[in-house]
Amino acid sequence: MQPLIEVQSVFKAYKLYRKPLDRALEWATLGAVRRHSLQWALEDISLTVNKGEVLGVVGPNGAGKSTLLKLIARTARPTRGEIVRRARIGALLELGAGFHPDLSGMDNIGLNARLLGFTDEELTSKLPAITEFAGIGDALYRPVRTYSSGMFVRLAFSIIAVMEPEVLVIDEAIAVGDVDFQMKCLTRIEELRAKGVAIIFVSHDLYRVETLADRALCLVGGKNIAEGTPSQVIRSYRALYEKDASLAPAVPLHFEQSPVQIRGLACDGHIGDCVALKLKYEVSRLLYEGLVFRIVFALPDETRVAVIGNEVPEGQEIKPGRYETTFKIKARNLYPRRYRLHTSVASKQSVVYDVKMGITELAIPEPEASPAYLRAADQLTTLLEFTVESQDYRP
Amino acid sequence: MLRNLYTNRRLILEFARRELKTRYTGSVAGFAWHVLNPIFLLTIYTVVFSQIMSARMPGISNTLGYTVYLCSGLLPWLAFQESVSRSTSAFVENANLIKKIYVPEEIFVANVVVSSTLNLLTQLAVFLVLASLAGFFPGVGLVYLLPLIAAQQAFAFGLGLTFAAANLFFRDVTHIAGMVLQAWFRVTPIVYLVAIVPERFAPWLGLNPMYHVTEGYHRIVMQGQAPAAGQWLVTISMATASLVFSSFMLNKLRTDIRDEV
Repeated sequence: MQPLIEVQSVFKAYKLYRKPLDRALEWATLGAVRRHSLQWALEDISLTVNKGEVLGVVGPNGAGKSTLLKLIARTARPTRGEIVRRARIGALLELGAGFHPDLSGMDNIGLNARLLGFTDEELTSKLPAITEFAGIGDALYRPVRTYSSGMFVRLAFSIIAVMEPEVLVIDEAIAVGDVDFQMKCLTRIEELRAKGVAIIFVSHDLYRVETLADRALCLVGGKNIAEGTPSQVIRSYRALYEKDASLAPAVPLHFEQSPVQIRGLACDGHIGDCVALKLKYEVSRLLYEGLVFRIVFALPDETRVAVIGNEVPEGQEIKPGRYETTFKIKARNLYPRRYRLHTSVASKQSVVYDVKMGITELAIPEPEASPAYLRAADQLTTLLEFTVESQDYRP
Repeated sequence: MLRNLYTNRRLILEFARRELKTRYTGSVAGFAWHVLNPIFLLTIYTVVFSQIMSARMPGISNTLGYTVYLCSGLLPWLAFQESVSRSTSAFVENANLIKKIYVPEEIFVANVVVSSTLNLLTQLAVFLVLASLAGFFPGVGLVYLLPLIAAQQAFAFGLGLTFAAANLFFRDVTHIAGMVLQAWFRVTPIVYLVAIVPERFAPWLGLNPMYHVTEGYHRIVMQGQAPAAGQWLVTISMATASLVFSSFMLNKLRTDIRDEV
């Protein structure tokens, strides 16, 4: 099957004029006089996106990530190179879709649907779903210029999400809006992906790229410096910005200020046929948002083989303090070898509080007598049996 | 460019319809303003010119003749003026949409021109009904009205698109277009008759394409005749030239336009 999007060696340069008169001069001489300099935003970028694939784009600020999405969404045109599109593309670039400020939300839905190339019949059938998803009530009949930015994004995302384009292009758009809506968006994105919608998204949140994307691309200074599996790409990117801090993602996970910090993960020895992993963390303010812990088992080449986790439900009060959670894993389900462990903690609404990659290593020894069928577990990610105990922890 | 317009025709109509609908929302008279505005303007002109300045149509002694003359030239001119001046800011005003959604840029100009044209047609219909009631029916020549309006508005579209593209890079264009249109209106025989133009200026009138268009309307409405071949020729060639030029310019600038908004 042919890819839905093919970006073929695309270059993008912006013309820079020192003063408007310079442009006037160029026009007057029909381009015989050149008074602009070129600023290259993208250089020789090629990529393909297939049906149902999720491509995450990472990189520092000004690396050309947004430009790339604009080119794909056709709101900017490449200086050189070709972009082949074989699908209907829905784009959420920066804050929301293109709305006409004087028209009502309802009229803007119609307008956007038509701009996306939908017929009246399709629109009529989808309209209830859009209004329901947006959940902004009577505001739909008010001009869009009276909307708050949250309502704006809600409406924008609802249109795109419900109209089901074949390719969804998202530029950090879901980072806005309230947490409930963000959650709704993420769920919806998962649904769309399951239906075969291809997704291209830019994010500074490396954790999100790693968990959502099938493939990733790292842009630095307009050039594609790494492409491949998210963990590979993020590893290359991390290696790069560890050397040069100015290349770090724009919203680097400023975990120092986040209310939950991971203090450590330690293997507490083997108890019977179980391995106990103790996760220590510190909470610095009263939390009601719930917590989601994840521990990822990876091979030295970063292939993930298993994920375990634990959740504190939303609404449950978590007082400031130090805590320890013990995960007991049936070791026989893990292929005997060395694992690199990553861990993360996030709120129930997917606000990432802390990520520690490669926090510890775990070696599962060869059991004395291991039935052959258990060896298959190396390929499996869901077979891990584990139990969780949480308790206050005082050093 | 024409293909883009054709593909997006429903979008353009939709935009134009909404535009007409929203223009007077919030006012008590609502849609009636589309008609009340030109009626007011025409009354002022009629009173000032025919009563105070005693302008008379040759051969028609009452003021009706002048009113009809005025209407037949002024209403189309107003649509032309509105099309060009509002097109000039079309890209700037719709920057938000152009930035966020892929849509051919020219439809924002087309939408302005189409809504002005629809407005003009309403006004002309009202005018013709009123004129007939007052005992003045222009006759079968009216069939030429629509093609002439179409050609005029095509010219307005080409001109508006050129201005719109230039205005995005040089905001001076808005002011220049405003001045040009003011002057243009005065040098076109709309409120006055060609007959009063002094001898030494008369040869220059022909250089103004809108002179030919306006005289075309006058012939249709006042004499019930088809516009002269020369009038057709000038109007249609100006329309074609402006479409070709603006389309060429737009294709050259599309990339820059998207980078600039």
